Amino acid sequence: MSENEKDLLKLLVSGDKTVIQDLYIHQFPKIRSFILSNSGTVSDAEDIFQKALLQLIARYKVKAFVIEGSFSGYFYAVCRNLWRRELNKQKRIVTNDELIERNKEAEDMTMASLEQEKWELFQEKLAELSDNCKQLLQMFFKKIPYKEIVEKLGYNNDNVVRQRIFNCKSQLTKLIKKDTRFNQIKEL
Amino acid sequence: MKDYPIEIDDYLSGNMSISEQQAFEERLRTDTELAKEFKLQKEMLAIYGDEEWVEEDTDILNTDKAKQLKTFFLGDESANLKATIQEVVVENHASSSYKRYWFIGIAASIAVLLTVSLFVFKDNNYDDLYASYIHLDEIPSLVTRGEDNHTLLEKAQLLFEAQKYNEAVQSFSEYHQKETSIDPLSYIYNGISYIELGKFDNALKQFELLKKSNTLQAKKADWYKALVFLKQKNKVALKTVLNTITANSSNYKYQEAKELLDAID
Repeated sequence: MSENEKDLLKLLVSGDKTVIQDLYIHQFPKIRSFILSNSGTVSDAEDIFQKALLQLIARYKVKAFVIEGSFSGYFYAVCRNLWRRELNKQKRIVTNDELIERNKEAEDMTMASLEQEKWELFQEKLAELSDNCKQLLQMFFKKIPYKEIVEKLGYNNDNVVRQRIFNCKSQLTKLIKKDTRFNQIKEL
Repeated sequence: MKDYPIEIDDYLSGNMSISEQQAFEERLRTDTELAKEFKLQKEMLAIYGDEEWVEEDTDILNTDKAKQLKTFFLGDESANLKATIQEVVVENHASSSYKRYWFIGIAASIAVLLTVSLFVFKDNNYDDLYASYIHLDEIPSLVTRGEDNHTLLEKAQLLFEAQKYNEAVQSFSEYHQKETSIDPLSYIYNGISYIELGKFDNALKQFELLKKSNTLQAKKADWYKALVFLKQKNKVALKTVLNTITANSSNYKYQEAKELLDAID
């Protein structure tokens, strides 16, 4: 991440309107087109844009953090996840009680923030694995059959692949469990 | 290297016989350590497989971090920030939609030309229009694969699909009476059933309930109301609703509403 982008997060947290305007110009179009092509409307996109900014600021206020990689990619991932979460909620049944709306909204934003942190933790840990493990696991998680992996990566047989994937997944599990953040989010 | 029991993978990938599955599920109920490992492996599948978003248990709201976050979201600072972001969104929205209207204006006049020529050859009949706009395939299913579904809803949807609208309406009504929290899509299905039965007032009531449901489906209510009026051949009411929809280009079915307005005039 460049120096400019580092300042970006800090400036954003200060609530500077010109920074928000700038983010709108540069980031919003991508978010809008993602949401429009995933059964949302422009106003849904605006809602997600707002929620994502608030989430970043809240998380930074509670505990300052640094964004690895580009701000743009990071922000897009946050928005994309918030929208996937929204679509999930939509499938569920809904009740209508506006009285406790404000409290509920704050709780929902809190849940979204913590879920996003967990998602980020999982992505970080996957990135720490060897290239070979990453490649195998990415195929595994995409549900590509073992037979196809054998052919594509030139292994001897299914069993070798199965064993190798189990080893990689074990390493990944270990990395996740070892991280203090995981235990913090996990439970009380 | 072994950091979780390999049986979990066998279970999750379906590589177990029925009796092995049952034995494993029994162990999950009694062995809390295994249950924890199982939950983590399932989450990994969902997160890395880019499947459904993994929601946490609301218990985590009791953690210190959650409390700090919640305090921030409820505070003045957050309210001010929200207002600032809102300002930016509104200012930009106004300027960009102006440009968009201009573009849509051109697109719409082309669409008008197309639809006009279409209707010269075709009888400009409201029933035909209804049939070409209803698009039942666009309504998401009430029944989700692989989840515990509500049996009454499942029954109602099957009746709907079999075009047994009288019975479908009964099942939906029973569901609406019995349940305290309601799947908003059921209003759409029930409303269309009423349209098919010619009970337009009842249909409108369903879409009114949909509109008030405070869900993401609510924005579809106006469009379905328009379809009721279309089927009812109530031109005045139809035009009013269509005008509401076309007032904002981000409304659900904006483009279709515009076409329909042109077609009925």
